[in-house]
Amino acid sequence: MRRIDLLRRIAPVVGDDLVICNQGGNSQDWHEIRPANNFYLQHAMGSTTAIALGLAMARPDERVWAFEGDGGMLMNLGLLAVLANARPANLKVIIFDNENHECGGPYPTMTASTVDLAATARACGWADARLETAEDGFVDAVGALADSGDLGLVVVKVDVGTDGAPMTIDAVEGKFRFVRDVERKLGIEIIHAPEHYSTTF
Amino acid sequence: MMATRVHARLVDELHEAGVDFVASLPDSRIAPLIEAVEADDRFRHVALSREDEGVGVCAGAWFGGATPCLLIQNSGLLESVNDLVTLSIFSQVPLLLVVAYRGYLGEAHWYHGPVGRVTEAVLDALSIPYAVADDPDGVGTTLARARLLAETSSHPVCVLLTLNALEGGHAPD
Repeated sequence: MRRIDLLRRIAPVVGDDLVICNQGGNSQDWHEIRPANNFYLQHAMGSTTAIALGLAMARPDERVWAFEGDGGMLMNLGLLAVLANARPANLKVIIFDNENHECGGPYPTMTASTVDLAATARACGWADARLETAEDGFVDAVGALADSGDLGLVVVKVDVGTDGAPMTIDAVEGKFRFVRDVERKLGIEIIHAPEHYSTTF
Repeated sequence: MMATRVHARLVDELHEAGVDFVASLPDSRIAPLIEAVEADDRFRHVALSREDEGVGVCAGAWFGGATPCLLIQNSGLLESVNDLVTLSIFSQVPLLLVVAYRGYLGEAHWYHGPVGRVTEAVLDALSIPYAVADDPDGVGTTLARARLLAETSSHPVCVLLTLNALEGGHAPD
């Protein structure tokens, strides 16, 4: 299964929800399909789901998605424990598991050999964490995830390979795009004119 | 260690500095502070399994309009260096770091020495502005000023809380 085909199938479910997107292929493929309301991780591999957790806890009324990779999740398995304990009901995690360090390789990750990330999550205390290997099953699982009133994880096995075009958004533009998207969507102000501000230097 | 008036005051000072979201991993000296934060509905709190997770968690909270603080030991600051560089600094996301300064004056445990001796050098290498908060009566002001600089510079800013500050001016055991 190509990741971009799966993303096309679940885009109607995700709608205009806020998405934190792992660097590399996840970002390129998803940017191709739905370019707004996303924060694209650029280099801090392993922190996609951490960022999504912070956002979900800061905005408990908003559904937040993390589009994580197997390499990113393996880099910080402790987050699975943190998430199970924090258990924000509005956070939905999808791991696109290509069993490979696609950006930093190609080189196999440990999901290619010994690790089952959904089982790891369940062992950390997740009530809802499943592995999907077929397209329709994945789409159904993501639909259920969106509707559930609990933290949840779907791991899906995908091919190595990216179909979306390379992106030209750097880290700072990525920040500002996401900040302005969130401000518009939620009607809040993230970047404030600071107190004590004056027009004189 | 039980939460004391010192910790209650520190929690009030975090709130007065504008902080409303805390990600933490305990150190024996800040554990009571973390407990007090957790019990206080002026804050949302996330318990971490490793400090570098908190850099991402705090960035996400900031994207949600919160004013986050990462409350950790200086050993965890060293742990977090990559995420501070590749997320906070690279993406220009404000972050208030409130860090127990172990291995500093008054330290009773020899094993904190190596981290204590390099803490300020690491912050300097990262160009992260910092203050050593040693006077208990000055902590509140320092936190507020650090939070403001983090916001106006879109950068991490660190307050190193000494044992003296964390003990309310009394020498630690």
